[in-house]
Parts: sequence; structure tokens; C-alpha cells
Amino acid sequence: MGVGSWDYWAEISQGFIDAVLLLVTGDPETWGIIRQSLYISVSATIVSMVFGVPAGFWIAYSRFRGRGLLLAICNTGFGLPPVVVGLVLSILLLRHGPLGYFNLRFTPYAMMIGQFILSMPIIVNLTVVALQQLDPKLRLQIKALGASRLQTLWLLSREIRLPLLVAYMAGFGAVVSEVGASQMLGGNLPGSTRVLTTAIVMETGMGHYDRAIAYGIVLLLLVALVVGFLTWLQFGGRR
Amino acid sequence: MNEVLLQAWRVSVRREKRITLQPIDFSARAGETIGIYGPNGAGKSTLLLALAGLLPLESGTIALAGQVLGQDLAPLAYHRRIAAVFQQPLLLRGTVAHNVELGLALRGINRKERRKRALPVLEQLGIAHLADRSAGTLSGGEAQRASLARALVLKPEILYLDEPFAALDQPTRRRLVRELAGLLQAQQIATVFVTHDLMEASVLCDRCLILDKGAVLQEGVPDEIVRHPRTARVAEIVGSDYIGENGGRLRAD
Repeated sequence: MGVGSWDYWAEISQGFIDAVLLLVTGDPETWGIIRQSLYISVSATIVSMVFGVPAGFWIAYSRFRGRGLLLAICNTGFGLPPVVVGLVLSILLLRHGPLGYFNLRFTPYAMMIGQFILSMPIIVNLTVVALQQLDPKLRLQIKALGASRLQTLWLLSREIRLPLLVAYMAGFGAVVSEVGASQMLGGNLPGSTRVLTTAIVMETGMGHYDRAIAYGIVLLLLVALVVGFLTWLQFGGRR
Repeated sequence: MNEVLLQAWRVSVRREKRITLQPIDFSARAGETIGIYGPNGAGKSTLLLALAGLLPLESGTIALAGQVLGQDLAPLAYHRRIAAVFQQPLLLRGTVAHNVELGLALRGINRKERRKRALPVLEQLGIAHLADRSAGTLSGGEAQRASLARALVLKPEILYLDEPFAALDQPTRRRLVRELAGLLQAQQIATVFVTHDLMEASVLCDRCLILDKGAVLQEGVPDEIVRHPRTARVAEIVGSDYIGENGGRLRAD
């Protein structure tokens, strides 16, 4: 079976055809996995935004000891190895571990926590960077207009809404395509913690190339959609 | 003379462990326009930001109509009684009207009332026709008018102006200074005005502080300071000749 072997190419192209069929015929298993992937990653990144954006404001605007350290941690977070996050969380979530009480291991919630931790530094960091690009007097101007803390947060967020969207997309893109932590925390249970990435790993291992390719196409499409949306925003969708 | 509205005692500011403002006393009466004049890096903006409650103070006390900032008067409450305009217009996303009404919106005033109050101010500043334009499309002069309107619509007790005309071209600048002088006169708003243009200072200000290296060198009517600078340094800053106390000799310094 060389590189040019007929059988090999036949199998792979059959995989492509079957993949497209799975998608267009609305195969419940395939679409269930897509739905679960979106559900887990969208929830995790929304929670990351809720905490990450205010945290970014705090780091950007308050002066305290260890601020530099915190920024450094966030920068490190960009390169946080998902498997290490998976490992640490798995240990914490063990039945007799500190968080064992909640019985979250191998649930979508465990995956959300992992993805939250993975996307949080990205969102915090990009928020800080976006705020640093603003005229430093803008915040003083808003304060001088009589804005409360919350109103200031809101007005400045509006000013950096495009970078904030980029931050969300970056966070989402990172976690939806991540496999290590998802596998360890979720366990790839069908109908619950099986997501696109863990399914691709499993189906490839089992030799089901059609399904693996189908999930791969969806994952690529998701990322393309995200990138396309961002590009559209940068050009046409402004203001 | 009106009663003292803004009073500051021994206000000093430290930035990055360096004193940028020596302890300074300051007061402003209702309707009075006070200039802060000095070379670059003198601490003019720092003094203005400190008085406006926008910088942490190293020492000192600020009081508005007898209420001490941070004790009787919360910073937010103080900021809702003042307004500030900076060198850059610092307009936010949205239309001119949105920007001009922003301070009112932050105070919880409803849309109808906001419109009603904004319109005359937009007209006074000659930008009523720009109300629905996006702030990002304005020229420098128009944007600064919008920024002034955004401040004046609040009917502030004290107006802080930090070189609001410095980024504008000469003709625009002269016109706007004249208009503003008229508006301030008519509305009797106490104004603190930072500038490095003596012409602006003499048109707008009743009184002027000469600031250098974070300290007040001289205080008085602008023309008077130019005619009688107290020290050689003041003369140098305002660009006049210094006549020494004995003999009227010109000192080169």
C-alpha cells in the first residue's frame, strides 16, 4: 500500500463523500456533537468575558503591587498547555479532591471550567491591550462627565467593542479547537461530553475516517466563520 | 465680588515618586476665569487635573462651596457639578448629539429633556446642523465645539479647560476663544483655563497664575503680570523685559 495506492485514495475520497452526506442529511449523531461543542465553548467563553473584561479594566487602570506579575501570568496564559489545565482540574475534581463534592468530573461543566480557565487569560490580555490603545485622557474625560464606575466601564467597553469582539473570538477559537483538556475533563461521553475535537481523535483512532473528516470540516468551517465575521466587522460592519 | 466657590489648600501631586506639583493654594469665585500659564512641563495640566478631582493628591484639600471633596462631597457628586474640556476633543462613538447629551444621560435625564437642553447649546456653538453627524467625521474645530457643548450643556459650577484650543489652527482658534469668552461672560461659570498662549489668557482670564516647575511664581491680572513681572524667570516666561527693583536696569538673567 504505497502513497499512490488505489485503495488508499478510494478510502479517503469515500470518507469525504460520506462526510458531506453526514452533514447535509442532518445525521443526528453528527449534529448532536456540533451542538454540544458550541454549547460548551460558547458558555465557557461568555463566562470568561463576564469576568475577563472587568478584570482587564482593573489591571489596566488600577495601580497596585503585583500588577506586573498579574499581567505576566496572563501572558503566560496565552501559552497555557491545555493538558496541564486538564490534569490539574482533574485532580481537583477527583471524588476525594477539594472540588470532588460537586461531582463534576466527566460532565460538560468540567469542560466548561477548563475552557473558562483557558480562554480567560486571552480575554483579559486583549482587553488590557485594547484599553492601552485608548487616549489615557479619555477615561478622565468620562469621569469628568460624571460617570460612575459602572458607567465608565460601560462607556469604555463601547469604545473598544471591536477589540472586545476580537478577544471573544480569539478565546472561542482557542477552546473550541482544543482537545487535551476536553478529553481529560469530559471523557468523550456520547451525547454529553463528546465534542468535535474529542470525536475526531476517537473516530480517527477507530478508522472511521468519514466521521472524522466530517467533524474536521465542521471545525474548519466554524473557524472560517469566526474569521470571516471578524473580517466583515473590520471592513463593512463598522460603526 | 462673588463668594469663593472653589477653594484648594496646599494641594500637591506626586507622580512616579517625583513631586510634580508643589503645595499650591487656589481659589475661584463664581463667574471668575482663572488662567494657568507656564512653559511645557510646568505642571499646568497636573494642577488642573488635581483641582478637577481626576488625580490622586499627595497632600491638600479641595472644597466646592464649602464642601470638602472626599469628606462632605463624594468624587462622583463633585464630578457631576463640574465639567472639563481637554486639548483633544475626546468624543465617543456615536453622533454629535449623543456626545453632547452624554453627561445628561449619565445623570439619568430622559431623552426628551436631554434634547431640549442640548439644542440651545448646539446653536450657541454653531454646530446644530452637525447634531446627527457621526463624531468621527468632524473636523478638529467642529469636534472641539462639540466637546465644549458637551461640557456647557451640563451648566457646570466650574469649567476646567486644559488647552482646549492648542490643537486648532490660528483662525479657528481666535474665533472660538472670542465665542467662548462671550459664553463664559453670559453664563457666569467659574472657569479654570490652562493655556500656553498669552493672547488667549488675556482675552479670557480675569486672573492668571504663572506656573513653573510645579510652583506658582506670580499671580494677577495677565496684562499686569506682563507689565510688571516679579522675577526674571516670570519675565522670561511671559516674554517681557524684567526691570529690576533698583535703577530700572535691564537684567539679562
